[in-house]
Amino acid sequence: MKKEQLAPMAKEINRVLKDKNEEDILQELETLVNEYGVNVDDAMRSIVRKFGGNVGQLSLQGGRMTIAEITGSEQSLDLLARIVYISKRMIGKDGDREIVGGILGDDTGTIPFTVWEPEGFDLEKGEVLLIRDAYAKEWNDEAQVNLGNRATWERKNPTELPMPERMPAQEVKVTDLKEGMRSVIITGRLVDVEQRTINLEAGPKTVISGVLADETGKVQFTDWSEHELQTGMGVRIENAYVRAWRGIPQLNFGEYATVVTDDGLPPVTDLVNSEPRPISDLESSGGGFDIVIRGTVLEIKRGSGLIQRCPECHRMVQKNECMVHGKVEANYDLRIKAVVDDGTGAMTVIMGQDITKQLAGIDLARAQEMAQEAMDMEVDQEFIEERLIARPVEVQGNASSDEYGMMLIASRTELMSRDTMAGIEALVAKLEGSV
Amino acid sequence: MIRREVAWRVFAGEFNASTLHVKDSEEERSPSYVVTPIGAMINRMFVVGVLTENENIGTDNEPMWRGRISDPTGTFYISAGKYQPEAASMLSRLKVPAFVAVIGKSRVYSPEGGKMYLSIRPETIVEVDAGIRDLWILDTAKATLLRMEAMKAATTIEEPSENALVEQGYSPTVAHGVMRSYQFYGMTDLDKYRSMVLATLKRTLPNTDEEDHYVPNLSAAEEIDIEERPDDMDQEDSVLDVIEELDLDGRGAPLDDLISATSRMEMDRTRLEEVINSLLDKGLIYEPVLGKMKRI
Repeated sequence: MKKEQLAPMAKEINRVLKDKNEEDILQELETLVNEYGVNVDDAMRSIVRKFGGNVGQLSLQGGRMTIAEITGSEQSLDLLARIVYISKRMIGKDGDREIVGGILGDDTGTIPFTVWEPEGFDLEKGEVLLIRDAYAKEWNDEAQVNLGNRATWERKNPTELPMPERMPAQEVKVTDLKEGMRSVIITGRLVDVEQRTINLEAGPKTVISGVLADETGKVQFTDWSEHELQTGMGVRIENAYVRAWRGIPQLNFGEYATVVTDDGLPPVTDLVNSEPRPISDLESSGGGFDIVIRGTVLEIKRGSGLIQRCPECHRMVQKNECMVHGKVEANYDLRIKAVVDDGTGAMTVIMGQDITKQLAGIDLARAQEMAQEAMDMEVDQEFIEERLIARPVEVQGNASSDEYGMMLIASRTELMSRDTMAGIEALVAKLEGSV
Repeated sequence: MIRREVAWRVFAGEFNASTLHVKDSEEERSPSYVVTPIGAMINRMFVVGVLTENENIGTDNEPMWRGRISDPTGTFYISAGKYQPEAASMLSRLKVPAFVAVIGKSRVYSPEGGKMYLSIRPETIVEVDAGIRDLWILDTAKATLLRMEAMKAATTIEEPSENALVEQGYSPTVAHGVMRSYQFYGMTDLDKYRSMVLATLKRTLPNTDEEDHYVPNLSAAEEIDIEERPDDMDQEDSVLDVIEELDLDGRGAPLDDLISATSRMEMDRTRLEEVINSLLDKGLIYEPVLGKMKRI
């Protein structure tokens, strides 16, 4: 490493050791790093130890993060950031303890922060600070930076972090939502609102959750600070953020969000019938709530047709032997696990007994009969294959993803009857018109 | 996340015009793709057409079923042997001519430099009706036109790239295929494909004149008349299966049993050892005790 690159680290060592000759320290650092190939952090630590300093006070290169890198599980992190928003709050049993909270920003994003012991913390909005030994945790499903009693901070010249006052907010539609988005602005109608109490480490907390719809689709939301929300209301939400559950993006907003009513929206009834979405789209957003896809059934997977389930846990079992509950008197069930492919992507669609009956024209009793006659449970799967493979279907439900790929639990599946000839005529007209 | 390979909808004319066969990464057993001149990057495909011929070119004990499937633009060749028992059995039962839908993987056989024989190794074959065939023609025409549009976009962008295409609204899959295709084939004569699609659509409509719907033949490949030998991957897959079957006590499959089991698959001891060495190299099996093989 070049001497100029090592100089700020020597300075940092001297900050901890105090009153040493910086040139000597730089010399030692250079020897360790360049001649002996010691990594920079280790070299810094060993110099501090050699002079009897407190290694814990060192701000090491490995600990310095940008906001986008923070995941919410960092036990110690250093951060150079600007105060985007700041306010005081009273907490505690009697509301007599003061803390400071707000939003920090750098050129990679914004993140909420809390100073738990704010005595002497006199920074204001717009100022830049270097925080050392903070920790990050998830709070209301969002990563947050916490300054506890170990943390130290230092006012910096704002020119050290050139950036806009606030991250440019993103105005988005429901289908654009992706895990990790922050500073989201979204307008939609609340098609479902309910209050519920969830149990957090800190005790029970009341949140409002429900479903928001715009003309592109629907998304589940959680309001962590009880805004005035009612079913049917049109709202514009600013400063929301997105977390995903099994790949399904979910909208979250809390005390730093603003929620205003917006009545320029179509009524609920016009918003709840979603247009089909390409599977490639769902692959890139990770999933979707109550979405519709159209595609072709290309495979009926093993475990379709007549299956046996454990009466205790409803897991699929074989030969009355449950993985968890041992020997059981299994119940019969009927279902389909199909691969639906729309030419842009493919996903596994799970359909229960009712849909199986309606789609393949076979009910549980008939399926059992057939299996008994053939002395083979697989005949039902073959029966379903013959009826569904290569057929076009429209499927509705929640699409999620995990390491094994995308899966959709169908709430509705229909064989599509498409007017192919009209489609071909329209395409021919378009092609001939474009000569 | 494991992403299932999408099933491409392509006409035989486009598929057979392909001369590029690629792997997406250098990793062993990574999927291979046939890249067509207008941007389909095919591992899995979904075709519907008329089965016009089916014959067993193998033996009764060791069947190898061949079939030809026609769409209005050309012929798909399919072959199914003992590694595709369901598809082979279906092919043996079908009476020609019949409308069939095939879901399968693209296969390339290049016996000598430059020449490529393209076929489909079916995963599933089902008999369908004319309605499903017509629907496939419509969907395939739309998919083909979309890729042609993306190819055209690639030529008008100053510095074409996958990202540039995605920004214009094409899916990452289409953008990736189109760029691979564009880099290899350069600008394809899109008019040729446009006429192919238009003629195919018109032929599918009822009561139209046949005369001006001649579908141009774009095929680059030659007809297959060479008997295929199961390739290395097939042999490795089946040896893996046998190892698993013979591993009765969980301590591995005894080598002697393995030799007698694989000799029935016409694999001699030398070849078996080659396959085993390859599987050991790839880390798919190991030797827990001398003379026993176990699947990892």
